[in-house]
Amino acid sequence: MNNLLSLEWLGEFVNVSVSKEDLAQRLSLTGAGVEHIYLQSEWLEHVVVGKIISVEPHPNADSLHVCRVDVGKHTAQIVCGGVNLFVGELVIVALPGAQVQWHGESERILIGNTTLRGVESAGMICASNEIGLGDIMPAADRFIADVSFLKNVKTGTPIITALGLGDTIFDIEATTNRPDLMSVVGIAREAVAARGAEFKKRAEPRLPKSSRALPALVLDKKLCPRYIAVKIEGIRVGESPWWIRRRLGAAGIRSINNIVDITNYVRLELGQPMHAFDATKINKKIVVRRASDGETFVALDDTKHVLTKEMLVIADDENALAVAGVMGGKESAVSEETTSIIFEAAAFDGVSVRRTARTLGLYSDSQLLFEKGLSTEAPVAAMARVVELALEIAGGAVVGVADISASAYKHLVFPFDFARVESFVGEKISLVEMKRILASLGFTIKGAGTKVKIHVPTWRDHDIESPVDFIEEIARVYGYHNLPSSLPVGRIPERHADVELVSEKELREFFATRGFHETYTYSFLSEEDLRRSELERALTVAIQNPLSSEYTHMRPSLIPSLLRVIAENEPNFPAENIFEVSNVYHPVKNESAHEELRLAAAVWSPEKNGVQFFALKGAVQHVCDEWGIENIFANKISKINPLFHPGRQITLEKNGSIIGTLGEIHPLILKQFGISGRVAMLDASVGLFTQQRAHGKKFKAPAIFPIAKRDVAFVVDERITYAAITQMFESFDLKLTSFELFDIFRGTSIGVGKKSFAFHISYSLPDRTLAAEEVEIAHSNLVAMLVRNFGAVPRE
Amino acid sequence: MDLIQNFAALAEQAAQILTTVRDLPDLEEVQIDFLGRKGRLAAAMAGMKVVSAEDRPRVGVAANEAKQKIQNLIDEAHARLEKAAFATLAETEWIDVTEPGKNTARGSLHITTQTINEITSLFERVGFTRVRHPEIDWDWFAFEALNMPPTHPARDEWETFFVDTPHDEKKGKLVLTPHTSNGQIHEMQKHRPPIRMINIGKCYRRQSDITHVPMFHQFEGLVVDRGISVANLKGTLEYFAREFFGHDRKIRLRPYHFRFTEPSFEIDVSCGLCHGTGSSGDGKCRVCKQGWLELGGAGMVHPHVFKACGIDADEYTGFAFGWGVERSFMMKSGVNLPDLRELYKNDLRFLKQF
Repeated sequence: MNNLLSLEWLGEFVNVSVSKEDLAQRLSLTGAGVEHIYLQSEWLEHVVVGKIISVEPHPNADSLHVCRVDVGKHTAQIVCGGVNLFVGELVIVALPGAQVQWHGESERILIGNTTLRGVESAGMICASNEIGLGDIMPAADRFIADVSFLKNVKTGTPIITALGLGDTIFDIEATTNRPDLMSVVGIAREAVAARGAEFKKRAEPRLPKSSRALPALVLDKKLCPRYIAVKIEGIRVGESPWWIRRRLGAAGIRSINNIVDITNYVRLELGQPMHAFDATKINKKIVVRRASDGETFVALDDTKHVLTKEMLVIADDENALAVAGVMGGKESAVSEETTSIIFEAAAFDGVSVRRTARTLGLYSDSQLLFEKGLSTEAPVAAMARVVELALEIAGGAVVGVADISASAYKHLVFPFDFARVESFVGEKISLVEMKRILASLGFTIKGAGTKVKIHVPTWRDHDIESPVDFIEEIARVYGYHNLPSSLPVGRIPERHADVELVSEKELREFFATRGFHETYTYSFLSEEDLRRSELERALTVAIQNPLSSEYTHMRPSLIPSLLRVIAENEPNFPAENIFEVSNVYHPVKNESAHEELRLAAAVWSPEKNGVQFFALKGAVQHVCDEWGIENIFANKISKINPLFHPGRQITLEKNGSIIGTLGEIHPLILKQFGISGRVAMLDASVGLFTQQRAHGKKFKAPAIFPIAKRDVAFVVDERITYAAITQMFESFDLKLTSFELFDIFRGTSIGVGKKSFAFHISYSLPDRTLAAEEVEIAHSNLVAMLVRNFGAVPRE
Repeated sequence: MDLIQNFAALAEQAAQILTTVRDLPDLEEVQIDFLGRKGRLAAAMAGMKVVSAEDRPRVGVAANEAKQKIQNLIDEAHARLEKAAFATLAETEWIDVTEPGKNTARGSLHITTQTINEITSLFERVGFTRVRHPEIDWDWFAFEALNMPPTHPARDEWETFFVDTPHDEKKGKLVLTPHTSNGQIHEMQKHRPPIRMINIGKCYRRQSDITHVPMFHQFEGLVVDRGISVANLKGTLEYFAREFFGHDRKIRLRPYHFRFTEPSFEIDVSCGLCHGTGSSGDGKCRVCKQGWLELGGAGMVHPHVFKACGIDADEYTGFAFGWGVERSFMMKSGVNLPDLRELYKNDLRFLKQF
């Protein structure tokens, strides 16, 4: 939340002892971040006070006038369309060379000597919004700014000087726990603590006493622990004096009328929101109560609302007059006709104010402060100040006061030991300085030495929660930038590496270096995604308050996410490889969800012959070789996975645990996702995959005795599997030590439904050299067995 | 004694002939002629048979000297001729080196992974261990134990995702964690100090626009031990800034407010573009505020948080810090995505650039 602070206003509370830039720096480093420094009016050069000498009709245009204006050194002829021009009026004149905002639009244009409908015009008589003063001097369309209220001002005086617009503004960001920094007085305390200013002596106004009690009733003291109301009769509602309008303008607040302006003025000055009611619109008495369900309310901004019983309202005997702490009602608003008013200063429960505002979609500067939590004691000083200003500016007399408290105010007190500060912040700060810092911020220290009791000032009774907060106050004002800096020393904790994290990193690097692009998809899926990938909703973690229908469930599988990515990229990339390592989520009854880290990798291209499958299988085999995992692919599928092509899937399985599935995605599912090519996908559990690494790689000494190599090529039926043949090799004879497939061939030359395999076969023994005859016998036995078992036809 | 002179003469002959040798095959012939089994040296050696036993050692030395000398001369010639032979290599074996290289299929790691790897590795160098904690967690871990009472705004529906499941009586609602700070609680419940963890994970918030993604990544550092001070937090963050952003970068702590740390800080890192001056060339620096960029939040672990985890706040102190992985790399690389959601759209035209 941001506070636009007028330095002129600040000067009423303190004498600033450093430069503006230095002050901004000190505030920023100690707590109140000054985001920008700017002048209230940065571009009003060549804009001066002028006095109208004559007003004549324009010869060629009914809506224009030709004025002669005294602008100091000379008299200028200016054509003007204003409807409130009169002789003797003090106006704001933009001379040639000045900039204005045409009809209040943000872009600025340069004024020059010009001719309007045949009449020369040397400048412009400005409306307030044309020179950025629309908020301070609100005006109807075609009304020029009348500054006749200025006394003793010479014509030709720059408008910045005449209107006192030379103020400097700090745009300050306050943290949410410090609503006190949203006020002039709050920043004044910070400035003093940061040694950028000294307090001025000020007489504090006192809450007026009145013999007549104001009838008021607070029915819910939990939501309204303090309620002060003061009635003033005989006031005159009108335009605020210039100095109030100017200061509100500096804070970006629009002037409404003197009474409303005063409530805003006090909020800006002291940080306590205020409200004013037209007293005649209040039937009998003020009642602070919860709304009834269905009660209706029309707010100041003309919006209509239906209230609920969770909401607090300020009502009279019958109707809600204001939503407590959020916004006043249209009906009881102060108007030009108002002569009797009731000011309200109260404390409302911050949570209730916040929830009410959110529910109604109704926001205001007051609500923003209340929802941060304000002291129940703050309304006292604020009411005193508001009444002081009202009597001075709008006249009238106090005729009734109500002050209702849930309980008597008790200062927050904590024990504190200054000796703790040094080890906590890593720097020795003198006791005198620590005490000075706390005192300047309004804390009262009871006791001598380091062990003391500290009383918290009212304006900090919400954010100070424990003694450690005092350390923060001391350290921040001392300056974090003044503290030393060093890496922690001491014992480094010994922790086992998370093996899954290690594997995860290796898997990512493995796939990335083998031509796969890593994706990061949202963890959410839509109902539609679940449906089209045939995943059961009951087995997902559903989100109660999804952001949109696109993201309603936490994914139980990475497959739909990757299919979406493929569908979106396929038009640009008909063939590519991607992968992702991310959690999937499974609901667990009466427990937090189970998060499972999974790896999904996909290869897609237009071919329908299964090449994608083998490309991906090769990559998986590589990982297994790298990790020393043998025979990860199951030879038989125990259960068909419906997401995958029924004839093109294989399970990754080892030591009884199912690690994942590799296969082509079922063409029907691809169609659902709008993918026209074919996709091979690996979907595996990183945890289970990792477990298989435990066994590690095995070392086999290289053969000492010579290896005899023979090749065999043969034709078999297509359905005779590689696995069946190699199983036979493995159980054939101890002499057969290794085999390697080096060719697969299919073609009309060997017949339809046939394929040819060609293998290198190695024969050796661990303890002696094989004789040539032994090798020949073994190899011919092998060929014979291929013929016998598989009906193989050997090829030459 | 003729024999000795013979040997010396052989060396001289070899030197003479070698000056005329023009290529390696010729040299080979010379070598065979002089040092071969039936060569001139061998022939001269045959004369040794008639040398008296008394002279034999001297003659032997001379023979060896000659052999060595000839061998050296041949080696020199070989080196010279070989060099000459390669002198024309540039012409005879010229290839066009400006042709593009043969590509092995190039994949890529997502920029988020690259950043996570970098952050992990730099913290591991100073004794932190990377850990993982739940993304879907109970309210108690995500808020309550972090000193966020039930009325805290972050717990209101419009910022946090809730899981559609019954409440737990003690632990409250199940949420998608909006930050990685729940990891602090799990870590401190499972491990006694000293603790130095770095928890990196996915987080979720109900917001999606050009500067917000509903899923993002945070990293959370936590150090708990005896005597840990604000100075140690500063030191750690400065180390991070130097290692991650560059050795000339500085950090600045500003007062801030978080419920689970006290004091709390906002961390600024000096701007790399304007070198912390706030101005570049003709005016204000276009990327920073007066020389500083907002990086993230940090603070000293709040005593209430220690209490919730059963750690004695009088004995131990600690600090925590954490912010977005995405923010870190955008600040580091100067990559300015017009729409942050681009990161997780997975358009290969985007992914292939990293």
